[in-house]
Order: sequence, then C-alpha cells, then structure tokens
Amino acid sequence: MHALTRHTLIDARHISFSYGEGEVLHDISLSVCAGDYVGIVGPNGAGKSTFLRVMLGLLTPLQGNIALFNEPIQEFREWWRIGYVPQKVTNFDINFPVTVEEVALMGRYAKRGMFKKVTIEDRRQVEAALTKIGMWEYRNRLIGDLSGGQQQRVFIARALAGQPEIIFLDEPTTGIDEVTRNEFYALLKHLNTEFGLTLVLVSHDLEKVAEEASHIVVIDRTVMWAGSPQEFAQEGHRIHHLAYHGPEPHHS
Amino acid sequence: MIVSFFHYGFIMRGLEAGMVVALVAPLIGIFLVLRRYSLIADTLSHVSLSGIALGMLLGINPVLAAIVFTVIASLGIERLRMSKKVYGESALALFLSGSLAFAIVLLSLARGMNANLFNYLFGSIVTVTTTDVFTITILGALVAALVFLFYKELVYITFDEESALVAGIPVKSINVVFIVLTALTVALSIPIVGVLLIAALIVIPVLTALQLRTSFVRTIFYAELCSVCAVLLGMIISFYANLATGGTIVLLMLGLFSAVLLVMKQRRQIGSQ
Repeated sequence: MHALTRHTLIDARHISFSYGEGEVLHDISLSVCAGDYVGIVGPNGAGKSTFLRVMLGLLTPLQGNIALFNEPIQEFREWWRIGYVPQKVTNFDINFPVTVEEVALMGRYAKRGMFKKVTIEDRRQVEAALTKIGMWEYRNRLIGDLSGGQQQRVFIARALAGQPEIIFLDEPTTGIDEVTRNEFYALLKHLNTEFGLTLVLVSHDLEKVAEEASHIVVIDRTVMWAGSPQEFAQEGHRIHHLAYHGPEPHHS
Repeated sequence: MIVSFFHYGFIMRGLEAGMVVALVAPLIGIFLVLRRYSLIADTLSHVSLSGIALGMLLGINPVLAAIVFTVIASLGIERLRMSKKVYGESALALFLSGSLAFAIVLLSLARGMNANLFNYLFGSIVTVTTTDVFTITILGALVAALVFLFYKELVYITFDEESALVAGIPVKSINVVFIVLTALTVALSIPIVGVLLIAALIVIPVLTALQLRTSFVRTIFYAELCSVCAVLLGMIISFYANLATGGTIVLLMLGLFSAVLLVMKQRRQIGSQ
C-alpha cells in the first residue's frame, strides 16, 4: 500500500548498452521510488557504473527508455532535482585551487541556472549542506588539503546544496579506509532515514550495501537478482555466489 | 624621467593595449592551465602568425587578420578534437605546424616586410596603432564580459566536467565559446608580447598564482596582479633599456614566478619544522 502512494523518480525500462563490440548491459529494468535507498552491486566490470551513467543521460542506451520524474530523459530539464557524487571523488586534481565552500557552491549552479549570479540564498543552502555533514568549519580550506573521507563529505555536501530529491553515488568508498567507510555509510543512512532523501548507490561491496540499502539489485551485464535486505539475509550465500561467480549449474 | 615616458603618444597606446591584454590573459589562462590545455595558446599563436602574414601581404591590418584567422582555426581545432578522429594533442600539432608552414610561405611571398615581422614576432609597443588600441579594448572587454557571464559554468566544467554535464550545463557549447575567447585573447596579445611569447603571458601569471595555494577567486586575483605588474614594468624597462618588450615582460614574469616558488618553499620548510 505504502509503495503505491510513493511516486516514481527513476524508471529505466529494458536498457541495453554497448561501447562497440558486445553488450555491456542487456535488458535491464529498474524503478526507483521516493525514499528508496537502492544499492546496485556486482563484480568489477559488471556494468554498474555504465548503467548509472545511462540513467543520468551521460551515455545513450542502444535500446530501452529512461524516465526521470515521469518525463522522458530527452525532455528532462530540471537537473537540479538530481544530485551526483562521481567515482572520481577520490581521484581528482588535489592541487586544484578551490575551497570547500567553492566546491559545495557548484551544487547550486544547476538550480540557479545559466547567466545568473550566486545569491545569498545559494550561500545559505551551502552553509546548511556543509553543516549537515559536519564540514562547515572547513569551508575556507582547500579541498586538496583534506583527507579522503573529508573530501567525500564535501562532495556529498555539493550534491545536497542543490536540494535534490535523489542522489546517485558511483563507488564512493573506493580507496577509503574501513573506519571512514563505515562513517560514510552511516551518513548516507542518516540522510535517507532522517531527511527522506532517495539514494542510488553503486558499489562492489555486496555485504556492506546489503546492510544499508532498502533495495538491493545485483547486476552482471543484466539483473541477476533483486530484492530486500530481508530476502538477501535468507539467501545471502547464494546471491554472493551469483554475483561473483555466476549462476550455479543445474544438476539433474 | 617617468613623466617623459608617459608623454609619448605611442607609449600611451602601448600601455592602454598592454593593460587590457594583461587583465584578460589570466582570465583565460586559469582555465587553460587547470584543464591541462596550455599548449593551445602556443598553437593559436602560431596560427595568428599566418593571419599576420596574410594581413601584411594583402595590406590589411595584420592584427585584425590574425583575429579572424585565429578564431576560425580555434573552431577547427575544437571540431577535430570533438570528432575524436585524432587525439587532442595531435590536433594541436597539426594546426601548429600547418599554420607555421602557411605563414612561412606567405612571408616569402611578401618580401621586404622583415622589420615589421620582427615586431610581430617579438612584440613592440611601437607597432600598436590607434586602430589596434580600439580593437584590443573592445574585444578585450568582450572576452572579460563573457568569462564573467559563464564564470560559474567554466569553474564547474574545469573542476569536474562529468558532474557539470549531470547538472544540465551545456558543456559542449561552453567549450566552443571558451576556445573562441582563447583565440581572441591570443590575437589581441600579439602587439604587446609578440607571436612567440603569447603562451607565456597566458600561462606564467597563473602558474605563479597557483603556487600560493588559495581559493579560485583569489588565484585569479593574484594572477591578474602578477600579469599587470610584469606588463607595466616590462614596458617601462624595455623603453628605457631599449629592449624587446615581449621578452622583457616574459623574463619579469619568470622572475616573479621563481621568487614566489622560493618563498613558498621556504614557508613550507618553516611550517614543517
């Protein structure tokens, strides 16, 4: 009943994609509703990040359709409703001369629109976003001078500053130590449960995502398994095998 | 002595044009350096030489001819780069060598222009005409206005192009606008530093400011300060010492860069003790 009252934010239907030879994605469908915390997991090279990039319009699918907020992606213009934390969060130019506040302010640009100057309201939202993730006191520090975990938080703040309804995160814990990674997942959970923010997280870390997300989708070129954390708990071993070693052979 | 310097009409023209170029070059340079695309300034400066040569051959204003030539070439480079038919750097090499070859052929046709050519190659404020000052001021103001207009989008694209795309920023269109602005800046700088040293004017003040490790806005401010000081001092010194203007300006910029590098290294050493 609850699921029926929630509106669909992302609706990807029968997506196939290829970089040239052979399909990287084959007939993948996924719906994300408001308030969901969807974890897309699978082994390296499974096409997780490619699927995310297709959903964001960065890549054009060979087949299939994507609707964002009930609009075909080709006609969608309200990009400020979507936040994005890219894979290269831990791999950007650390000598880039930009402060934490300047990075977070970039998250307001989609909402502000072209040719329009940054306003007091934009700065207020940046302050709110940086305060929410505990980085306001670092606002004048250069992003390159922070630790990996702090940099990640700043990129989350950038996504939050635009007041999006959904945030996509592409392998955000790559290269981060375990303690920082756990803190990061706790922050995501907090944003999802306390602020009702919809999250789509791509990760190769099946067990950790299964603990955190409300919906788990295992992909390896196509959808191998999808279900809730409760269903995952019941058949976790089989799903782990499915995700990292492929389907078990049928014995007659 | 300084008073007499400002009394010469050609000096005032040179100073006016020099100040515009000094202010505009770092505005473009900061985005080129951070996008690892500094080499395009060098390529476009060689392209501008073709324009200069054509202007001299046809008897039209060489700076105007260079502006038209450089803008057209910049669009060609961007198109070739976007098509991915050749690597980005190879596209630059193609245009650099091709335009230099074209310029040499044109200059061999226009014999007897060697004295003027020297001025365009190495920069001399004596060559700055009233038309040049007018053109440089109008186009310089246009470049600065467009950089301010697209400032936040340019910063976003330079820092994280993929996220800028997701934010709905028309990255391709802004890249085209930016490369045209780069071409204009290169062409405008010819009379002051000359074709061979334009890249230095665009890149060195930004590299100097980057050593200070501060915010984006402050980095632009310090690059502007470095650029204006070097151009102003370079023009005065070159006038009294009878030196080539472009070379003097660039040597001053390099001196400032080295000094900042040393000071920052010492500060880091003191900080780590």
